[in-house]
Amino acid sequence: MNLSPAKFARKRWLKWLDRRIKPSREIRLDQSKIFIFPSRYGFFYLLTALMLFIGGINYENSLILNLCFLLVSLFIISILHTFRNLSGLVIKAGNSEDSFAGGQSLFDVILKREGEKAHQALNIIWHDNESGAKDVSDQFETKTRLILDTPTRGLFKPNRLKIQSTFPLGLIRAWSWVDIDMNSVVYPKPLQGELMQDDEADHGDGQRKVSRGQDDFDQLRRYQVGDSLKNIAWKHYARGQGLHTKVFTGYQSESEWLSWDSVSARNIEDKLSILCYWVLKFTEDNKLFGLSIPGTTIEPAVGKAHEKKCLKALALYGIDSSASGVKA
Amino acid sequence: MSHAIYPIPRNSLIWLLVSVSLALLPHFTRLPEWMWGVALAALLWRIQVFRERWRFPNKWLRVAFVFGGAAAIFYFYGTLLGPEAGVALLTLAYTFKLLEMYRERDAYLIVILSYFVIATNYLFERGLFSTLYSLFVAVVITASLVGLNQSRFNSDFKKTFVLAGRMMLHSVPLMLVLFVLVPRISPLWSMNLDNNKAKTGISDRMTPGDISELSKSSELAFRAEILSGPVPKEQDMYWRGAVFSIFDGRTWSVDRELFAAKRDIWHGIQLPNEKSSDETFESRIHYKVFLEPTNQEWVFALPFAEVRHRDLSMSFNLTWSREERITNSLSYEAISYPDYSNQVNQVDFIERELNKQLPSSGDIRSRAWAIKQYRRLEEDPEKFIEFLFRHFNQEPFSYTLRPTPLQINTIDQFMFTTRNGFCTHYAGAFVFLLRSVGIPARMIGGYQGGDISDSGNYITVRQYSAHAWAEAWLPGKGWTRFDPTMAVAPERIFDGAEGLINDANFLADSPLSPYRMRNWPILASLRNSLEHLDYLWTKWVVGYNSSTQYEFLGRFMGRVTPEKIAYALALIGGGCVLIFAFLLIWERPRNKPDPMDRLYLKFCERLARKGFKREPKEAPFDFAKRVSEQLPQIANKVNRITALYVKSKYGVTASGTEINRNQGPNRDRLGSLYYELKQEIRSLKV
Repeated sequence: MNLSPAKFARKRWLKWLDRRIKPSREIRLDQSKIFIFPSRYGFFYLLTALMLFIGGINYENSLILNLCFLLVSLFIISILHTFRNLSGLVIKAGNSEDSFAGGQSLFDVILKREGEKAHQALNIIWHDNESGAKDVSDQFETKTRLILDTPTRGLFKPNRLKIQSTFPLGLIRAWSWVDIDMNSVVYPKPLQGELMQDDEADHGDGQRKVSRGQDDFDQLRRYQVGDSLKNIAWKHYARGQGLHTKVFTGYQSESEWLSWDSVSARNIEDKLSILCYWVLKFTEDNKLFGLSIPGTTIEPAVGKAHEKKCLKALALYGIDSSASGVKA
Repeated sequence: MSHAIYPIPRNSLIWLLVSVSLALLPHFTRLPEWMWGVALAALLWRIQVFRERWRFPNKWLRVAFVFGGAAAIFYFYGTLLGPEAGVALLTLAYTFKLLEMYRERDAYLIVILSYFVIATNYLFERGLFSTLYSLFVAVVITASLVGLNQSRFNSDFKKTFVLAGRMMLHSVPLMLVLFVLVPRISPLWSMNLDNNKAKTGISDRMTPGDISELSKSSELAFRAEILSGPVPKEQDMYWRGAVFSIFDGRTWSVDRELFAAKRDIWHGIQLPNEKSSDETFESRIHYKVFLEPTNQEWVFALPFAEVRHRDLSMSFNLTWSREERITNSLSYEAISYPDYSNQVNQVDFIERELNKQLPSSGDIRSRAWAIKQYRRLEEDPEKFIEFLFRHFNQEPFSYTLRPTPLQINTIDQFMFTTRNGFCTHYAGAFVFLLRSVGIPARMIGGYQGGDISDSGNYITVRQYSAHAWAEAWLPGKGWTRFDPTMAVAPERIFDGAEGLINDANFLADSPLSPYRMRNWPILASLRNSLEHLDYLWTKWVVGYNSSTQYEFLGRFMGRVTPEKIAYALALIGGGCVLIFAFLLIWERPRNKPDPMDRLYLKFCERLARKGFKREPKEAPFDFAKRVSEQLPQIANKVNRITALYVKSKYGVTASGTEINRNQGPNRDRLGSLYYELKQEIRSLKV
């Protein structure tokens, strides 16, 4: 492996973090998880104290020295206060929403306090998104919603989130990198493409493939909620026979199959994207369809739940669902 | 306003403006009046910007402000360097920065500048109360830091200040540890505060009229702590400082060349010692002086003094001085031998010759008169001096702090025409007359008297005790002190400056001076305690330098070594931090019962005593129903209490609407529910 020193150091650091702060759906911050260091302003402040010290020594003025000592003491005490502000805070995973590649996904993080102690001005930084100053003081819990970019298909597992605060004086920054074990499924980005009508490439062995199209009206069935309005047999309705939906399918099977070979594309990702498009399209058109891709076969069905199931199958194609989809 | 990207939170901004005003306040007595106007204008402008009435000044206007301000300071002080002009510049930068304060970074800069503004004030004021005030300002500055770092939802004006105060209190123990233990290293480079405008003190030139200015001031000159030996009587306390040898016909001045030609003259002086065991040695006084900055080289001591301080040395004229002007408070130990006379000074003849000089012309009448009288007295110096004292005493000379101004031939005018004045007039004329007949004489500037504390171990000398007297060289006796003022106004010497209380000019500038409160017993005792407090403050805090530190630490650790200091710092300082760490961080989550629950439980307890025990899972309303059925006479009360409790606890009112326990106004409502419930339970007669 050819790793640059920076990358190597980062890898080691992440490994170390993984050992130190283990991923969990609920993490309580304590001294083993909190990092603390002076902020930029903290260093300026210490520089001020140093200048006062030199001034006090040179002017032989013990009151100036005393001011310097006061600043240093306040600095040290503010380390304790800043640490205290983060310590004991519980960070919990909330809901997350699935998304399409190139889109954004919502993640809810819940900040919770234990006992009486309030936590103030907490900032969650996750993939360059900041939550802004949040308090957990009056309420017992505070929910924070972050919107993260999901660039690639697969299981999106965000990096560790950083929770930090400079409260109360801004001289010290305390933070922690926590992995609250949240993830979201990122579907392929829909891509419009042709569906191939290849007889050879059928999923059924030796079965006759029928032509597709809405002209091949097959039968009527009773309207179900969710059926497309386009396919309603309005003539029957006008005759007072109630709502019926026209079903256009081959006589062998009532359903469409979206299969691996029914789309042609340069690569697998495009293939998945085109399939994704058709899954969305069919669901919108309220078509009965099944999905068959290597490793997964989903029996024909309609509706949102089915759509989600299919999208998830496409999203996770070729991905070990237990492994991280995005490199940290 | 393109700059307002991260506008400073309102809460913080208000605290910042307050801290700027408070930090500047003590400086204004020293700054020219126009700077008041400038600072006030800047502050108002910033407030108007905050209220969105005005805009920030644009860049060119700001540049104009800065250069205009700097030019004005240069015009006023004649320089941009030095502490006073420096403080003025800092103040200007500080107030102008307000007009440029848009972002978080600017706010932090203001905070940092505030600390410097406080620190520079310590160069001029070192009192206990002004220090306490500055610590209060530090709390306000801390509050503005808190304001910058809290979320907007939790920015309560008062809470911010309380948190800042708490943090400050937490810092105090560690601060004290650092103050006591951190070694005071010697200055890295010399910093001379050239206080040209020092308000008071004895200067190196003395024109009749100077000391009357001092008599208006009750400012502290120095304190002396008697370490061993008898406390001198007030009339014997002549704190000798400067010697004025040069007279130009109007002004007496210090011979600065003499300072330059300073050399070790101890060879010629045999000090009394234990072997001699005479009275001179026995009556010696060992004391320590805490001198306020004088901006002059010399220090004050009771003659004949041996001052023990590495930077102070003695000149030909037996004054003690330092190479550099004393611009910071200075403390030194001295041993004085009041009965010692020093005629055996081998190099003294130069000094004697120097102190015979007079201007080549002027004051002819006085010269002639002196020579005539001297001849009449057979040229006996002692008789002549005695005659002069009698002359001042018997002729219509008077002592006043508001003398008739003298123009030319000042000595003649004073001796024969005006015949009124105070110490400088009398001492000046006296020395002039002696020199006219060839007797070496010099004028001495210093302080006479001082307030001896009730405990008797320290003496406070204020500016109004400034005094001038004379020394004449007599054959066989050497330099001897004569105080011509004594001949005119002996009460000035015997009662100290107190003798002048009836003079309208005395303490005219200090209407509230402690001295004026003498006749009020309570105020006088209060004043005494304050004086004592101030003395301790000066000694142990302001005067806490390396030698005081060694003395103090030596009491606890024996020989003071760097290792011991390091251990003590680590142990005590670390201990302080650990204690606060423990108090702050390992705070166990206490399950304090809800105050409402507590009240309700109390109510249940009272009913239980009557035999109505609430079942463990019984709902409050069910319990109330059960009780009221059996005790109809209190049914109303019980129902009301239960309703109040349920309302507060579960946020459900009788009509079923919800109250949010977390929001401000409702919290207050909870508070009022609490008191209502408390009252109801109290008035419940079971």
